[in-house]
Amino acid sequence: MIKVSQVKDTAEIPVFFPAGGETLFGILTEPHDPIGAAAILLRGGGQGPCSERNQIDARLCRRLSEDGFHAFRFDYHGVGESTGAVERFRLDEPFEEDVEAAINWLRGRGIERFILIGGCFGARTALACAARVPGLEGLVLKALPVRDKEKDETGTWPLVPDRTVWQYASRAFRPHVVRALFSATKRRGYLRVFRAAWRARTESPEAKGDNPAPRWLSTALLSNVETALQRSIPILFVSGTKDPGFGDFDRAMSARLGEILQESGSLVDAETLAGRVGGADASLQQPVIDLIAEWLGHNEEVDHSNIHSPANLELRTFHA
Amino acid sequence: MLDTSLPHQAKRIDPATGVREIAEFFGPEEPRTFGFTHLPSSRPVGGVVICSPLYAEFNRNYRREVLIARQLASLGVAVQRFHYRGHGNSQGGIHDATFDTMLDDALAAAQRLVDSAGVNNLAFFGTRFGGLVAASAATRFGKAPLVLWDPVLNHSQYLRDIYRAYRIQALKEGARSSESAEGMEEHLRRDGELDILGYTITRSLYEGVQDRSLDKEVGLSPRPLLVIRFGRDPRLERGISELVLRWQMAGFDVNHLSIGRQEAWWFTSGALVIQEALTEPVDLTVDWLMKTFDQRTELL
Repeated sequence: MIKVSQVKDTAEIPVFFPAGGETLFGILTEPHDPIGAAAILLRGGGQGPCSERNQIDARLCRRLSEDGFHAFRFDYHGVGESTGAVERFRLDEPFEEDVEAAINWLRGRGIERFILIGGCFGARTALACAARVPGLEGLVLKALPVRDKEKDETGTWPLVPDRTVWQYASRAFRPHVVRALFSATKRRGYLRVFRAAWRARTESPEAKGDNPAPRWLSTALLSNVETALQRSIPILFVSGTKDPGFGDFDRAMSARLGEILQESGSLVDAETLAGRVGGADASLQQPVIDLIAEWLGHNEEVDHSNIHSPANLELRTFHA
Repeated sequence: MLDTSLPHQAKRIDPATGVREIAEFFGPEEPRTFGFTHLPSSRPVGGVVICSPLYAEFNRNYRREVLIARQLASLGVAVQRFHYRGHGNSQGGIHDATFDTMLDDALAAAQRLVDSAGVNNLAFFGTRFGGLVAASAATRFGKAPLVLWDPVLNHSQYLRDIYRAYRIQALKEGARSSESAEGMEEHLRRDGELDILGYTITRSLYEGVQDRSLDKEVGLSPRPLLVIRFGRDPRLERGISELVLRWQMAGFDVNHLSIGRQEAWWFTSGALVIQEALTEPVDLTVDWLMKTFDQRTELL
């Protein structure tokens, strides 16, 4: 059964606040005994209210406020109750201005210490704020996408090195492939794949071994992680083995991202849970809430039965 | 200590339309309902209570409900939106929500609108499962007009739709799902809840709606009725077309329209938020409601 946080000793206050030319909507959950820090929840892309799927963000806010945090969830511009319009959520165009507006509003309430908690697009937005938010004391990044785009010109790069020459040869001689060679369009398609495979094997940074950052791994993301760590901001990565981008995240942890995190020492924790942590797994919603609450310094009992790994960065273990 | 200096209501006035929006938690006791009131700049010609769908469908339709409320308010109609208890930003747990509590929440929202806007001529608007709630609430308000978007006809149809979403999700993930629709129902009865795409379907809600159907909730007391179906086939599906016929024979003033686009109610794409084609039902609904309120005003 899902355990739902009750609103104990807290007050939920709806607010409008300005962000550029728009008016954003949010809900502040005030603690009974404030510790002077605010946790700001940054949602992924989508059209719904800031409570998120199955009230995950409402429940997290209520839980954190019981622990003394001011907890703030809000709608980006063009989403939910906020004004404005948004047509697409692009991972390489996070909504930092909306977060800054939320922070300014909270500063007006006398709060100067902040934790950003984001999932998917919200995780990228949280990271993008690392350089520009004074008083940022922690980042929680759920189901962090590590590419800038879902599909782009370099999208084949991470896939091609996984196949051997023999595997390519055996695929090339399958009957439908041979038949398709009679079509000029399909021949051109196969030629593109061949060129991509060749370049990946001979020209990619991974192949040369001189720079372990693969091209598909977002450079903005790496830069933001480095910035956060230079500012000594602790980061918790929460990933699910069935998250859509987990394969990429796993690969990135074996490449430049993993290196950066290893160098950071005790500033970083990474937890991998079996399933999806982005919200699409109801059984993981409460464990993720508990995990975040615990990481934020409140050592309450956490059910680790769903958690595959204690904090470590050896995520490849779980890839199989 | 708890800071009580902030009001427990948030208000804003749209500079372009003069519409006032009030966000608040309302209700006499906990769990309180979260809602939005949209008040026109002049005396309202009527009021609309919007009854949202549930689960993924709630999120999928949310922004459209916001836009429809703003559009109606800019044209002089007061609108009340709300989240059912245990859902969205309202208080309470998911297991607290039953059909009866949802109906109570809708009636409390209607009362909130009457109090804040000073209107007595209300209309109800429900999407999917919210159609059942809106229909049931409308019967408490005389001949209140009713708008239904892709309404759920009965509990078994709703469970079938949920099951389809479950199977499609399993297919997308490459997982083998051997559970049948009957098995899923048994699972729900046995465990008290079911996880579909991260949404908890509860036995309390499911069992509470088994004796309910759109037919029964709408009743036979004639009222203006707009039914909009989403689907590639421009004709109404058999179940709803039979109902429309029955309502027409009972003296209802029924308008039924089909939007020539299938709505993937359970699957939300984060990429594209507002598609131009999806504004069509909003415009049709606003036009119909405005005409209906105008006619009622003339009669008065």
